Amino acid sequence: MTKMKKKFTRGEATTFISRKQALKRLQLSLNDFRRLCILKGVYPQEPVNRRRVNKGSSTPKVYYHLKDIQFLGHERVMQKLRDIKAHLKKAKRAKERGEMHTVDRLQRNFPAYTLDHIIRERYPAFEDAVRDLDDCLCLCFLFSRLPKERGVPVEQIRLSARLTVQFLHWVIAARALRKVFVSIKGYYFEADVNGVSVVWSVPHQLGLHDPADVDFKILRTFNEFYTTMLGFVNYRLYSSLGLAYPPALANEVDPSDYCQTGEAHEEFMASLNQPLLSRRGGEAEGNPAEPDDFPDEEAEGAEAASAARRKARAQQRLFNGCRFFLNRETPRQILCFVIRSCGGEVSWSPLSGPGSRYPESDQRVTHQIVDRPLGDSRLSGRAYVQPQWVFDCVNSGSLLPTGDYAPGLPPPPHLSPFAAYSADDADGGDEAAQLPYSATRSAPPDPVELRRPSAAAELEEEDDDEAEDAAKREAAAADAAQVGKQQKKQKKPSVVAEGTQRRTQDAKQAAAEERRLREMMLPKKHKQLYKKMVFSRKRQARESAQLAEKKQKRQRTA
Amino acid sequence: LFQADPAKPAAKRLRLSRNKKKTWRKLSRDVDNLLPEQTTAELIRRRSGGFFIDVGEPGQRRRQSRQQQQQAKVEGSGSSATSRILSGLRCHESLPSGAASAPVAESKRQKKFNSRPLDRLVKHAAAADQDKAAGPQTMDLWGSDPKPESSADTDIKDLVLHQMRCTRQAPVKRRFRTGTSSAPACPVPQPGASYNPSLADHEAMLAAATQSELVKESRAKRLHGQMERHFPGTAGAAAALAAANDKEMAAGLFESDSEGEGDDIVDKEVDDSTPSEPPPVAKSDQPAGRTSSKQNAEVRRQRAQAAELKRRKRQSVDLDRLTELSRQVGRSLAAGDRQRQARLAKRRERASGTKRLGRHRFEEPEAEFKLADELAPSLRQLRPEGDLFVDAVKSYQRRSMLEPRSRTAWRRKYPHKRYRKKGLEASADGEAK
Repeated sequence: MTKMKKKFTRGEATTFISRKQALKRLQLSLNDFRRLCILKGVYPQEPVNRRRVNKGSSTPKVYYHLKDIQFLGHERVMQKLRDIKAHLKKAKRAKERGEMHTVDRLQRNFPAYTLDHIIRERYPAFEDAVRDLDDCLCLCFLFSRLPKERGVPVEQIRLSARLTVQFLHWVIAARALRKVFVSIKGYYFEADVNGVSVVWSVPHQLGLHDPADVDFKILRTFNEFYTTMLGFVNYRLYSSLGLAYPPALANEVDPSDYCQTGEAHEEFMASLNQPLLSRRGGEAEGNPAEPDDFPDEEAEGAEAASAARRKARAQQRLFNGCRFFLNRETPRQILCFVIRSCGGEVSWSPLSGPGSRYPESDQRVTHQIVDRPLGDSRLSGRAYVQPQWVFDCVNSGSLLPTGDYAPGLPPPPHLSPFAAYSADDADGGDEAAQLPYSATRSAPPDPVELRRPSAAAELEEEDDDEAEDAAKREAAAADAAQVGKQQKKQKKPSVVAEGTQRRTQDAKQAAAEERRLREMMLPKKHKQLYKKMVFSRKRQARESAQLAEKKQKRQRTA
Repeated sequence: LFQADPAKPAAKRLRLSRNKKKTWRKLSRDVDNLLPEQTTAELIRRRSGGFFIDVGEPGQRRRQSRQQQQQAKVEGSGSSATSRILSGLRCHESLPSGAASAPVAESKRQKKFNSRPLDRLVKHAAAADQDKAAGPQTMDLWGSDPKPESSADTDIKDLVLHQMRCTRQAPVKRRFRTGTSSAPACPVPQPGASYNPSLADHEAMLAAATQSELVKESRAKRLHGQMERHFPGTAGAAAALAAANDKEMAAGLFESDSEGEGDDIVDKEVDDSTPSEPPPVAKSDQPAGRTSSKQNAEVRRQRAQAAELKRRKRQSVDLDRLTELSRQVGRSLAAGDRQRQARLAKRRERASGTKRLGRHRFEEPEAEFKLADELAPSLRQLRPEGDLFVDAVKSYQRRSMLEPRSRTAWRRKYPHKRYRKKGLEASADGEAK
């Protein structure tokens, strides 16, 4: 007779382990376990059947793979965490006893650990690290803006600030910036790092909120890991451009007006307006990585890829030859970063901070960025624009007319470069003038206009058979309507003046009415055929629109 | 190694456990028994001929024996802890020349005792060296600099080659702990969340926000309706109670109340003789009682018979409609296939979506939005919405890197008592603060 199979001795019950069991196995406290998991990249799992794993009960527990916990057990940082715990116990005892010399000695000899081996293990190749750079940058930028009173060690905040500034310097040197989006939450940037699109966010200059449900201990551990990683990534990026790392300023700076000599390096680096020293010792040449040309690509993605490359090249040279002057009320660091990443030169008033290169009265200044209504005090030979002009130019890849962005006037809408507006990504997302919010208050948008971007072309074809002709036309119109309904963010075709808009509106309305009349005049047997054609055409159009959307989504995230 | 006087033969050691106080007292009577297992503290006290095993930083104050100082001068200062230990172990050099100066032939047991602490100390020192080094050994983690292959790399390569030779298989690829979630790490907000959005984008965003609010409202309404159905009058009870409370607390505050007081009171005949009855319980439509098992069996038998008859009849009919049946089978297979595809797609979605970890479900945060009159006319006048820290935490939760947690108030079960341990009390009194 065969042995009775015992329940819960094989399968999922043996591959998962609950958190409490893991703590017992590793002999760690919950905080230390959390830290270790974050550092090693071990995440909780969800078993398919919780009952099987929990031996019949379905209480919600946090489960980990048993192999992951076994893997954690071999980590030498774990021993360090235990050493730290023992160390703290000793320090507490000494403090209670009043043995301050012991406390000092223990503080001096606090156990330290490094995370290099963990980073090497988690990211065996540089490309793996670049793929995780989004998270890293977001958190480091957040921590760099923290006030000192938040309970986070000052050293960690300063380290994050230093590393993020170094990364921004690299983006400037490599001219890698591709998209900027100013939202109500913060600034969102996208850069091209070794062919991978990296997206990160920077909070606005104003004070941070005090979120109640954010566990800063956990975020600190993440930040600890990410700062170490960012240091290594920065080294690799700098060496790929031939820049010295740790970065050094190419020119001598005079910190007398701003800070002490010891802080000069940090302050002037943070101004983002100083050239960096190259490895060989001179000033870095600034040879941005030009996107490669692959002429013999397959036709499918070739067009979009070549358009993207053209746009990237245009963005890299966008502000070549332009000299900017930033007023005090503008977000200085962000604008300096964006302008310099596209080849421009920037300066500001010496009273605003270190890093100013030329005064406001400099004759060579071509653009002055202002954000408040100007009086009559304008200098000739330069254009006065709002900060949004800079961001919109970068997103579109070309210099937009400055008249629309004059100070005091409501500027055109700031469109998101991350959203897929219909069929206009290739020529530059901002060409089509979607009517601004203020302007449309008076003239509401035309619904017909919204639904028919390019249906007119399809109506030109004429066929012999009247029924098929009518059917095709109707189908084309119906397709357009269907496509228009699916794509929620539909762009209007570019319309210059109100008068022409009204004229095109009337013409299109007349055409639509004529089509409806012809539809009504179809004989009964032809109507059936027409209906079937319309239905199949609609379905095909719907499917192709869905596929196109998926593709765009994939291209955006990839 | 730890024998202070090599001339004196080692006394027979008493193997006593040292984790109880009484055994310590026994041990302390016979000092010789302590010798092989001396602590470094004991060694430090014995200055004559003893040496100090130092595992700390070079900057630390330490008492060096004259021999060690001389040796340090000879070797040069700044040597690492490891070499310091190893160089200081030439104990036989400090002894007077003669037969006794030669190292005593160590028994196996002595060797084991002597080697063990040293290994541990050396390892500890080496680890301390590594960790105290300023910064990482090299910033070039991924080997971009052209450098000669380190021994570590060649060792690993050799190991892999050896494994391949023996097993005739490629080594199993390591499973890296990458998240399977397809959600982006830094989700960009919708176009309507731009600080200066276009009309269409803004309207779309507001429409989405309105939809979510309507959904919330409908849920609340549904809950309210359910409460009313099962417990009539209680759904509004909280509101009624609050209103009554407000009225009571505000009584007498306004003059108009006191004027009409006399007229409004109506003496009702309150009947206190019989206690008020609770409202009748709503009887649900349940069957009166269970039918007997015999009746059930009879019913079941009849039903089975009827089913059997029906089946036979159906069989004969089915023979006549084979083509249609085959078509039906085809359709059901196709449906099964579609269901399978749907199941696989759901499974894939589940794998790439947010996992259910722990007690709380992940809730998508509400998208921040600004109403039309809150839109800033310029970047300078923009008041930010939302918090990027919360965004970061939510992003980790969405990708199942962190499990959703809720803040609970930490309440002490028993009152908190502070006390000082007996030993500490005594020492605190003696020590000057």
